[in-house]
Amino acid sequence: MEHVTAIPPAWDYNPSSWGQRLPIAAVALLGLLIALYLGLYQLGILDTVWEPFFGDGSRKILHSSVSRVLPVPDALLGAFGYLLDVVTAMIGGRERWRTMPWIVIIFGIAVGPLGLVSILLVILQPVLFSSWCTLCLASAFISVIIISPAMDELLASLQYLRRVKENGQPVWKAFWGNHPVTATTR
Amino acid sequence: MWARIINTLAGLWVMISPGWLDFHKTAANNNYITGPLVVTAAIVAMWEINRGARYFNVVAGGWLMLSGLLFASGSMAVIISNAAAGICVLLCAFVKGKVTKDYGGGWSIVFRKRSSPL
Repeated sequence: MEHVTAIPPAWDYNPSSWGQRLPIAAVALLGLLIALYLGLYQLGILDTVWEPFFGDGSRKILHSSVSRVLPVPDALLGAFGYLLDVVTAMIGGRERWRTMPWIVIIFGIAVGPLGLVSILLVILQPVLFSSWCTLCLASAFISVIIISPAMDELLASLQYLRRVKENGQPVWKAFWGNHPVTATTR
Repeated sequence: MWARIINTLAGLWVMISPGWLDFHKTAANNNYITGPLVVTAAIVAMWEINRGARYFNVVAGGWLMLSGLLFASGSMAVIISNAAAGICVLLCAFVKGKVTKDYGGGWSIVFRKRSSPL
């Protein structure tokens, strides 16, 4: 069975299977749509923004000083982050934890730090502007719930590179996936 | 799982309680900062692979209990609210819960100093 070989040593499942990756990509896609919507509002392309709970909270937050710290509105940067999540979730086959560690690691970096930046923005909303923004919170929630589901694949890749190193084989080549390593020891 | 859910709810309460109770500015900001961090750690720890994130909430829970007393919080209700939330967060963070799958030794394998004998 091809299935069995795709599972990392001493794992119960394959973290690179499509069943593991597609749900993450789908949720990140939802985050991308929310962030795009907020970004279009920040650019002035949309006149209003949906805010069911916090009055003019979203307007205040989305036009705040923090949102304009960088040349690009912060929601558009978030959208780019989600796009990176979706793309790096989709690239590579179902054994990519071992055949393409580089993409798995970029995926992990895209998901992890993006989630942490979202938390920072959630903290800044009430502390600096005394309001909340519903869709910003929704976006932050999305980026937090995909952290752990994405980290299992990252762990499998890092364990693999560790095994490569311990077997005295070139880690750099294994990182780029052009060096088939048959290391099975833990 | 239930421990992480209760932990998340407690963190949400920490976040929104300044809107309901009579918090002073510093105490409110403390909650606005601590709450999202508690929620994040609780959600990340829902998955077995990152169950270790619960230890962050041991610290955060302890901090919540203490901080209500340290800051001029506003009212007794504020102190009680944070103490209760803190105890709740702390106790839930100690619950390990079920870990049923094997992850090749987890994160410690990656960061250990030397390899085990081949």
